[in-house]
Amino acid sequence: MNCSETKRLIDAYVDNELDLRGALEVEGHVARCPGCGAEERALRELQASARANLIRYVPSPEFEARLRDALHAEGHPVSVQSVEPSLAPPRVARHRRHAWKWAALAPFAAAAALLVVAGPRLWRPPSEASVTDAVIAAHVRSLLANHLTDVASSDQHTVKPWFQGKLDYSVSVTDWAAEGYPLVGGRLDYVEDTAAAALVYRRAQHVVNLFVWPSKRVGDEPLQRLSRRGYSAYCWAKDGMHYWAVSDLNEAELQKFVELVRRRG
Amino acid sequence: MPHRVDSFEAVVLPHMRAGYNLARWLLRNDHDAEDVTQEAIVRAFRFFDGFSGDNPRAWLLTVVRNSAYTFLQQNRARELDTEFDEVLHSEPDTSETPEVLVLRSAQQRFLNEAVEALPVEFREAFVLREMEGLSYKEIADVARIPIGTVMSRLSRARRQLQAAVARREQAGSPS
Repeated sequence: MNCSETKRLIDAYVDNELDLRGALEVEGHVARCPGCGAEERALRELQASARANLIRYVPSPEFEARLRDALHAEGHPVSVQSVEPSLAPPRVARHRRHAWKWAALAPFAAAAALLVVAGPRLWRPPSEASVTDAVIAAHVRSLLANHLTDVASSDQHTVKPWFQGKLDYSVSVTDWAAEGYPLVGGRLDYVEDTAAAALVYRRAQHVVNLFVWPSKRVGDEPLQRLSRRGYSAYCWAKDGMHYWAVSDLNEAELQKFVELVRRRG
Repeated sequence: MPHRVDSFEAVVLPHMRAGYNLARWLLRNDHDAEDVTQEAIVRAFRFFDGFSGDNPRAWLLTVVRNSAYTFLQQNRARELDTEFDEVLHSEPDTSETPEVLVLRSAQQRFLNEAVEALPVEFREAFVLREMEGLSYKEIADVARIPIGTVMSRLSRARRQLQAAVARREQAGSPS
């Protein structure tokens, strides 16, 4: 592959949108060519900067109330709880025009959770929903882009050291081939701007991605089951780490996998 | 119609904020973004019976995107010119509180302004990719363009942002 072909494909390469053969060719060229290597680093920097810095705008609480009224007028029943005015403290209400700007500052996400008070039933807490979306999107991407693994190995002693140096935390890797969930490999992925280890397992024709990354919150979180777009996910936090298992496996088999992972810890 | 209502609430409304964020990036002010998001969600509710896909988020983003473009056509058609207009800059937002100005780093502010200054079609592709994490195929469906066009819009958006960063570094401007 030469420079002009690489330039044409390099965006799709950093977006994990190339098939395996294309990705390997670009990877090979980028490793040899200083100019294209610099281009790749610049693109990845821009991408990381955009993900960390772009403002995520949040509508005002007044908007949510107006929207509920508008839906009500269309025949959407409104529960009593969700008609109540914002529960935000008065100081925040006075500054509500700026609420989204605060909410948008990634490092202040916790403060945002206090500012953006919503009806409990109508609106899902944004952080949980967006993590779910991000994890499931990462799972889907791994299947679509032919980019399942960065290190393909069924040997846990190969996969674990591969992550060292790429992550600033340690991930324990276990192969459950004997239990019917063979390890396929590992991949570096990103969930909400955090580098996450993705451990890849197979069950018949299905893929299970187990995402692991450090938890910012204190304390363990109980097991939760979520589903989105035909995929099931289980998440929990234990000993300072978040765990998300995502697959299109049937309920019982995914649950069995999750039990294996949780029992080991 | 309790079933229909429950599903709309459970299936579509969780993506309201993603829809608002897209509208806000396309229209570049709070007021228009709120009007367009509301109109789009009401329209989505009316047509919800016709929704049978498995990706409600992409579906809502499509409805919001179409409403935003209709709004631009009717009110600010000039912004729909695809050609990059060096003179075109978003109206400066002077409503920020001093705290926000201090907290938000210069780099962060610069990047947001540079993305705001992109032509709307490039901005749309960039925001859908980097903020919503949509695949090329999903962006193609939302914007109703071929995947090749997604690739070239994203690529041109990034080159323009890189050029803006380079110009700024050359100018040596501290903020």
